[in-house]
Amino acid sequence: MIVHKRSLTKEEKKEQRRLFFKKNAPCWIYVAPVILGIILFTILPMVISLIYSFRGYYNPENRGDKAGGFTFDNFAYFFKPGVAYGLETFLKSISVTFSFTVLSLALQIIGSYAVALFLNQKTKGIKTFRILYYLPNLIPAVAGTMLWANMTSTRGGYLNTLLEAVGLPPYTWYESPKTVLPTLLFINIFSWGGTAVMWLAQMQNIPQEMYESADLDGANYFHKTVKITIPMSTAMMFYVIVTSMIGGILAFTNVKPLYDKFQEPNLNFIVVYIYNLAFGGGVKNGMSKACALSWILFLIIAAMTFLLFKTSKKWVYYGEEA
Amino acid sequence: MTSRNNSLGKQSVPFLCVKYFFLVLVSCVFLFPIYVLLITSVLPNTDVGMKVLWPQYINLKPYLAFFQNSNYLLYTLNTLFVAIMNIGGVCIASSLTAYALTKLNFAGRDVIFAMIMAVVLLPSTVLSIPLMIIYRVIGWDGTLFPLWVPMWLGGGTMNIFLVRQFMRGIPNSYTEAAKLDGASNFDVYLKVILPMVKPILVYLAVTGFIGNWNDFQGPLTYIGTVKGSESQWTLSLALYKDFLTAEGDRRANVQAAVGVIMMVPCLVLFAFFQRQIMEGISTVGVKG
Repeated sequence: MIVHKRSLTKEEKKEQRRLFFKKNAPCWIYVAPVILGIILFTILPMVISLIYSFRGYYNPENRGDKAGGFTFDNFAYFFKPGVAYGLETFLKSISVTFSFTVLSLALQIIGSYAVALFLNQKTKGIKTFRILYYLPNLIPAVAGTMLWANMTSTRGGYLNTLLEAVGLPPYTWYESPKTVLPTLLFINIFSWGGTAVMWLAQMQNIPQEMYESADLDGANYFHKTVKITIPMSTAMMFYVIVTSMIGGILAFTNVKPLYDKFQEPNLNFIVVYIYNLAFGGGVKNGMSKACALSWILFLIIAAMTFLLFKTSKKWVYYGEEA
Repeated sequence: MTSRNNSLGKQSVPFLCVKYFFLVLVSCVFLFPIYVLLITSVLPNTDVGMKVLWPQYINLKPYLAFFQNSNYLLYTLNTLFVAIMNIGGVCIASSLTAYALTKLNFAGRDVIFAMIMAVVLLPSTVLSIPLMIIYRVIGWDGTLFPLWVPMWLGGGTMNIFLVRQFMRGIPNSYTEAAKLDGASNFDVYLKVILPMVKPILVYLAVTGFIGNWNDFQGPLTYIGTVKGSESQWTLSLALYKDFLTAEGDRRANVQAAVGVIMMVPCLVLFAFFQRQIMEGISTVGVKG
């Protein structure tokens, strides 16, 4: 049957629109705040950041700054050798950020997984130990960073005093360029407990029957770990890798106070670098350069996240229904 | 069922001893920073930076110094205000948004959800500099507004996503039954949905409180870079501004005492909501 579609009269169109609004408007009220939030606090800053990184921002606190025409200067600055905060600083910053991110991620996954396997047993009082292992994560980040800064002092710091007490030679910690990265990695150990708790949560979701049927087949602890526990934790592993990688690249609170205290280029992580460009006042058009560097950082993170998601299909197990 | 008996553990006494020994040993390693924080906070002034492993006597003056400094009372109130406002924003805004996205049918719903998913992985750090420029224009630099107002507009895209995942598990028959009884959309949200998503909201509220209570980057960027904004400082910012100096090194005991005091609310929350936090962590990891 053919229905001839008659074009609507003006009145009918108006009526249709009224009904459409009547039906949808009450629901739109629920989502209006989030849309406003995304526009004001995500899209608007992105647009502003783009404009300033390609033009320049007049910083009222820095009289040399001025806005000009379209330019690539703010991006090109990071590839210019021999200027303050230029190529050398950029390369150093990238290299310290990534060596810390990759090494701490690898160590953290192996170390915290071992801790979780160790905690994943039926022993009386195991719940108490889980809480104890998680506790260092509750130290306020700044207080923790500044505590470690004091503890690693080579002039009467707790760690060197302890080393001396057990007859070992003192260590230079943050006060020598070579020992900065090992020190950061060492301090990272104390956050493993928090990651271990995440692994544990996943391990406890593994159906007990899997282990029971493995037991019937005579599998030992090692077999069960490699064939059941680890493959069943890949979803959590992917989550930990993505969040820790982004967290490592964006490290700020655990390095900014240290950078200020020791003035060590090996602590100049990318976000610290961006912050110092924007607010340090040491370079002309610093705000615009900080915006430009934020975009470079954003592209790096987007690329790495994309790659991780791409590879995840090959090794992540999300359960039967996925 | 011998295997079951084995796995449930009828272990020999020496084996158990070794096991507990290692459990305690690893605990000692993990608790080391907390131990040093506590020790440092009770050091007598004469012991600070003097190569001591143990205080000559327990000195509670650093704690007294915190409570006698009226500035720190103000910083505590500021921090508490920001943390509580964030909890409110997370619980109310994210659950309302997630409710609309899962249980209401309206034009543009999928577009809005796609928009939220597009920004969910965008790290807010890369936007902090342009945001600071915006806050300068509207006069929010050096105030507490940037630390909590954005949370009330949507409640954070990641939180929306997590609450939505949770709400999808609630059968639609619940909401339809309530609607047949004449309940409005908002009634359904308030009386049917909200009580059912309480576990995830408790998790988001507790972790949100701890995260904002300890936040440093936000306060430093939006408040710390503005001259004359001392009255708006939070505890994290005050620690950084007051103690990261040569003079601050000599007051390492007071610095540690502030750290301990800051840790107390987080410890209390953790003690009360330990089960929800652990459950939440597993949900977030699996669904996130």
